Amino acid sequence: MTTRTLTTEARLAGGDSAVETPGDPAAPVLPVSRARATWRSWRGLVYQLAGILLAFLALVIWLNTADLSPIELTTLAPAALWVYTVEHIQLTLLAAVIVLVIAVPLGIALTRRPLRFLTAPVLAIANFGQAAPAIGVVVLLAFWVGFGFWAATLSLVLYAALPVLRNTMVGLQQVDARLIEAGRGMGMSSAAVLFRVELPLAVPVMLSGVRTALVLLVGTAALATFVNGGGLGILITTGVNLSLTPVLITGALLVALLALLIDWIGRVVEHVARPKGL
Amino acid sequence: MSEFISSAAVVSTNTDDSATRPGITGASILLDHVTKRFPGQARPAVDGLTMEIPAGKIVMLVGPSGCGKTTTLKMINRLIEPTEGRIVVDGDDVTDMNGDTLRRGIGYVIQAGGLFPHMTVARNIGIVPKMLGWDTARIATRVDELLELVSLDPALYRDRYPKELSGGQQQRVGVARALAADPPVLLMDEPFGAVDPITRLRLQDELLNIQEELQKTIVCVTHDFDEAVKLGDWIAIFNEGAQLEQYDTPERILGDPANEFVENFIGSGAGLKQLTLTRVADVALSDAVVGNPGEQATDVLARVVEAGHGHAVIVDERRRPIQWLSVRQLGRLETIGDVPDPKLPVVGKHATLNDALDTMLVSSAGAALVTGRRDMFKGVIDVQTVMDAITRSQTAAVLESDQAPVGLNTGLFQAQTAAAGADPSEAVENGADAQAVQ
Repeated sequence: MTTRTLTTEARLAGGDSAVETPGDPAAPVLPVSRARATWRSWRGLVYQLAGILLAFLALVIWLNTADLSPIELTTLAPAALWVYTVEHIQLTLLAAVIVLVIAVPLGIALTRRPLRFLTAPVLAIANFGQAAPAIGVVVLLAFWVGFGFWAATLSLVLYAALPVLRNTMVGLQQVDARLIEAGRGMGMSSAAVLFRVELPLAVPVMLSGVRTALVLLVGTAALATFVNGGGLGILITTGVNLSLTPVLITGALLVALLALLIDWIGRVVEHVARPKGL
Repeated sequence: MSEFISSAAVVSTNTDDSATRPGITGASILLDHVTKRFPGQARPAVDGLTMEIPAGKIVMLVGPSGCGKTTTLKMINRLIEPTEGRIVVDGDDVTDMNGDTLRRGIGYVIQAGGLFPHMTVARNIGIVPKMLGWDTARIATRVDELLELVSLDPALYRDRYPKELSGGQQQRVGVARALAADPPVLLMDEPFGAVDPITRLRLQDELLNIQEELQKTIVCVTHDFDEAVKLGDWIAIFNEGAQLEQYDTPERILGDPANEFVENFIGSGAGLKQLTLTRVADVALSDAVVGNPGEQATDVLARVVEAGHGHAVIVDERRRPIQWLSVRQLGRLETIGDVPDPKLPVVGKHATLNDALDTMLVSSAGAALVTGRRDMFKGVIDVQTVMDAITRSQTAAVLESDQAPVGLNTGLFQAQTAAAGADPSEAVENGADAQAVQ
């Protein structure tokens, strides 16, 4: 041990303590590689953000240079666009919060021993429900609870709860059963094992479910306009109904860019929140 | 031990005098007519097992898969709750105490260590102390102490994550974690099953060293009979339903298997397995002609011929063997060189005969050099010495069985007497086993 000259960079080198030699092949690696590794892990995210910003810039330039009719100019006034976008984000975030509050605890409960027999059927329903067309859910629910913001929110919640629920359950299920046993074997209570072992290890899968749900929500919130729920969807319907192609394109692009931006934020959170050592 | 006295719900006097013997930090365990039936299974996984595990000893549970050995192990810390029967640790009935509290006082090691991948080595080891409310400084000191104990440099390993460790290192940390709160009992479930054979041997040696120092009570499940022979003070061989076929010392199981099942389980080569029971230091070594670097080769050759040997051992100024020259090599040399031969077949005096045999089989001389303290040359061990040792240990084992010393089957003797109030058929079965052993 005393003759060991390993640098911290050699920490990843495998091998048993007794067989590791000072001339470990991983030892000469320079700190430069750490910066490079960091850059590599962030590279995709940087490119994604750059792409989103470029597309947005292109849209702004196009709107400022295109030959727009007075109706189009009114509809696409920056103040109006801002209101639609805020409405859209409100719908999305509200639904997302409700989804998290409902689906995560439900997913945890369904993987606990007393309810574990329900895991498989619920996963099947979740997968099946994901295939239902969003527009159908939105409109049917509106007929049931009435048109407006809350009908839109409710249908969004129903729709987005499925991926979060599914990923919570899958994330908890894929935790190595031996680790749970090791925890219990050391005298951790089942709650301690859940909060200190199972949930931290399920975080990456759960977060990716949340991100999927958010992206779905941004897309589906565009349908809220059909039940008078507000959001950027109004640009698309107006564009279609009045044959105002620039309005239609702007609406569609804004929804897409918002979805990509939310996806980006989700990825950043996943990247940062992923437990070290995984 | 105080762990149990303070935390056990049942007040009981310490009835086991062996637990208070100096040096031993382990606690005795008694499985008293323990049965486990799993729902939906016709036959019980463990059927009326009574077994005493003496304090400070390593007891190996072996048997074919599905024989209930792992179930038996997990009933000791009540990861699996027994359907019937009592579990007594250090004289305290722990069958009804809080399971989590019980488990905090019992070390538990599983295959591949079972380390939590999102926690550093230090945090993994500190889990139980933290649950027991130790302060941070005390935990940190304990972590370093334990890493030293399992031969890992604390400065280098304490902040690593499990994925940055090799399989053997993970297993070591697993053992350190189990020992964190200094529990009197250590349960191990196939601890060395997931590492390569060479690392496994080293880990086994280390466990024996640690045990020599700490003298815990260790109960270890394995499917590897050789491992059981090497590690166990006692070996319990189970058949289906955790029926004890034989519960005895490794020597006597190898030398005098209780029945056909045990014989089949040991498999062929019982004689070879006995080699792991004897250390090189226990057998008589042959002398060798010794030479020093710088001597005239002809002088050494003359001594070799005079002694009627085929080789001469060349040792350095501190009597460490550096070369082993045959008559033919000596004939070719003028003076003896001082360059050490890296392929010299050397074994330490604490090595098992098995290790010695391995070493000598690869050496051209059909023998191995034995070194003692500070690697000083002690003598030569050859194949004939090993063969004699096998024959002798076989007869010795049989002789010992004939005398049948009381206490070797303490668990089973007590089982017979304690069985009075329980199902008579089980008592008869266990009693029959006990007699078969003798």
